Amino acid sequence: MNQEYLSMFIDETREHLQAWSDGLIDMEKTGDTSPVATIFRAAHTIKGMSMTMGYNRMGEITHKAENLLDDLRNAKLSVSTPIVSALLHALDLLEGLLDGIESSGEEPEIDFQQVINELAAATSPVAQLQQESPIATVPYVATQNSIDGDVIRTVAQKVMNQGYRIYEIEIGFEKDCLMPLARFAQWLQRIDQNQLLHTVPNASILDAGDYQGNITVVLASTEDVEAIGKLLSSISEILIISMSEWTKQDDTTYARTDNLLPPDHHITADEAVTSVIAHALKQGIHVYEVGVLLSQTCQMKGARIFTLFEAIGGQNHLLFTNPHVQQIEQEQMDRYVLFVMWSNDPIDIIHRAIDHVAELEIVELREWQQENDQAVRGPNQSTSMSAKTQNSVQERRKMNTIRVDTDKLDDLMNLVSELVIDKTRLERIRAEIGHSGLTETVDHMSRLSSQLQELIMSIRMVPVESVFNRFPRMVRDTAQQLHKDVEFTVTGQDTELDRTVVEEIGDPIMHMLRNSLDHGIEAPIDRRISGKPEKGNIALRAYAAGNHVFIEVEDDGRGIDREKVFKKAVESGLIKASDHLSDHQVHQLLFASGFSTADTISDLSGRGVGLDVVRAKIESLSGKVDIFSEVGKGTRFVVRLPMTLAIMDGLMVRIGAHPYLIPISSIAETDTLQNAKTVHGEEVVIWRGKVVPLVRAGQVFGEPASGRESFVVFVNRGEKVVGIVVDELIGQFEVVLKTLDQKLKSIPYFAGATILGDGEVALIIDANSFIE
Amino acid sequence: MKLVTFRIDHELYAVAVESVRSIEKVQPIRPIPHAPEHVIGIMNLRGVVMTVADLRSILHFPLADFTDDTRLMVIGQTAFVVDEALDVQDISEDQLEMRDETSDLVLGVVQDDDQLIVVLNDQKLAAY
Repeated sequence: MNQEYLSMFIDETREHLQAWSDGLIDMEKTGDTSPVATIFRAAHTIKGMSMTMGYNRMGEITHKAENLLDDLRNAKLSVSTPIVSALLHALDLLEGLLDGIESSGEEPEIDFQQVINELAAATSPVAQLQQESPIATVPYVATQNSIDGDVIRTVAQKVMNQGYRIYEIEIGFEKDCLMPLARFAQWLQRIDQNQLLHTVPNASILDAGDYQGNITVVLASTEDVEAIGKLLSSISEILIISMSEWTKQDDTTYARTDNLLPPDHHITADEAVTSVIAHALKQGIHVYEVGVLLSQTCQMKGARIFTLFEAIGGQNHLLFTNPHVQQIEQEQMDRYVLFVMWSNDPIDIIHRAIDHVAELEIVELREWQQENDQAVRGPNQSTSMSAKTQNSVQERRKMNTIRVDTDKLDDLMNLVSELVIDKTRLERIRAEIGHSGLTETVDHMSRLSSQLQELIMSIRMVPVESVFNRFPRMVRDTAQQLHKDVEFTVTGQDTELDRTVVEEIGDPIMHMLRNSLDHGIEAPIDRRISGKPEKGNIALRAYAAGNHVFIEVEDDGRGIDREKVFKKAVESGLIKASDHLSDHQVHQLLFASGFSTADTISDLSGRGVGLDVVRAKIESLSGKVDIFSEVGKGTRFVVRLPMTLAIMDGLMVRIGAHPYLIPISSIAETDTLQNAKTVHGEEVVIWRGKVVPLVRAGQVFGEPASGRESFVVFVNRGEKVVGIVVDELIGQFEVVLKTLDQKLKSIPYFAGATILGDGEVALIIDANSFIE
Repeated sequence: MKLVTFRIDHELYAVAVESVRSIEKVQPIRPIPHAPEHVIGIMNLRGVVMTVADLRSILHFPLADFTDDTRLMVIGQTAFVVDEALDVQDISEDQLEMRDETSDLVLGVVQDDDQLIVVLNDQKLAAY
């Protein structure tokens, strides 16, 4: 098996399975059936791909799922819990199979008969319905105002109840259309086959192949009139003659609306008009006939149309308008405006100019031509032109993204890091030499390398979506297990973070969500008793602020019981009963390691499971996590993460004989060491009116006292401030963070190391470790 | 099997040649406060921050200063300090004898002329 195809298959199938999962959750939550189409497409694609790859289990499951989905979008079935469950189980199984394929290249031998049966069972009611309504065989006569035929009515009712709208559309063919039925088939492809309810003449006549008259089509769709019109008017040689919508009068009668298409505005049928056009054409000027439809929401129609006139070169380019310009000025018009104009520009320029005007859509765009001294109206080019623009946009997009192996990305990152180191080295050499040519080149190189760095950073950024999108499913399942009713909202999925961080952040978020579900949200009955809606809310948010990305998990559950947490913390020896702690400080105790053990959780109204793990993980990503809670109102976790990890600004200091770097992001201020006092045997200094403890870094690092410790670097985390005493402040540097070997990671004081401009290595201090 | 032999104090040691990524001269090493005893520090090896470990400490020899012969043997992600790097020798598997001193770290002993070479387990070493 070709490895490249296999990994492509796995990647793409994952994407489709994700779409499947999202769609289902969405569907179950909103009851809206519109995601069905997406899931269907996903299932269909997976089926095709897995069959091609020879993964027959996946093929069979998706095939069965596809049948079920087909009936759903066909409105033969309505969404119900067994259906959603069957589809979810199929999804689980497919994910299992895919995991197997990913690890071994072979489809694992999982028993999938149960899922197949489940899917089949969910599909079966369709057979019944089909028997009730043999749609295609019953003759149907559309009369002026009502719909004949019980069957059509039954189907219509079912379909409408599921939120579809029903349209009746009559189409004809242009006179010189060679193969009208082929065109018609092409046109039908624009419609989801399963939404096509009926045609007159019926399918057997059309299949016979030599029909040339008009065709009436009844179809069901969730789209509005405009979208349908747009969708169906883009096949050349097909004319939409009329289009109306069926509306429900009461339970048993339906009415058909009048023709929804704009009336025929062909002002140019007038002979006086054509002679003017012919005159213009003789002078070698282009003449265009343009019909535009203003959007329904357009507030100032007149003004919009005048913007349009400006766009095509001004009012003096107009030959005719319908309605009249004066009427447009006074807004005495409906949404459709037709005009004839002259121009020296070719048709695509005109098309683009009009296309750029907001709130309107080009319905007609024809160029007039001269034929035997007569002016002749050319074919409508509006749709073919916009199709062309769309295609080129799509093509360009395709060209714009490629899949890159993440290892290559990491290699690139490393190379750029090397470059940054060399740049720093060069800058140092330049300062020593002082050659003007060199100075210039180095300056330029510095600029380039920072641009390169920014670029590579932005490439490494990925939206948190890839992690977030697995949570709706998890929350749903967990809530069901716990018999809780929860509304889960996710915002800010497009917030971007460094790839490595995104990969790591999933587990901590899951822990926090589990906590909210398990300990935060109360049982429905308890919620009702405390006067809250039975449905609890959990929100997952991501947003960027400054150089940080924040991720919040918030619930409106019972909040944290301060007293219980305090008691527990005293029992486990974390604090003394005599300690005075603020609510916030008490809440943070939940993150303390050893605080949470399984047996303390069940009787604790608050939280605990694995929160120390959450904190450890977040801190290993150089982030921090905070907890805010109010009894009875809810709890909010706030995670703060640096946007990028690899390159940072640091203050280089000397401690004893060695240089160290302190990340600028954790520094509040630097100062000379003066007026240090001793309180309870601990050194402190007054800084901004606060008593701040001092830590002599040399002492901590086991350096012999040099007696030259003369500077203080104040580092803070939230309200906590500590002064780190160092020997010397060297300067600010941009450095590349290199992680330390596994065996050195247990040392609390260092976040990593870096290579300096002179090629030596220096340790990067983790300021948090000094704060604690 | 091919072995790289090296000297620590007055004794001969060896590891499988394919486990040794490179042999380097000593470069400036930055000590790390609170590091495990056998870790001397970190250094810059062609742009990579590498941990430097002292084989003397691991094998319970008294510590000694670096000399001109001192070399760094890079195995896995760690550079091990040896007193001298000697040779590459080809020996057959059955020459490798298990001895009493065989431990986690030692694969066995090879008799070469009148000398004993202690063959170290490179995987255990790399995990140090």
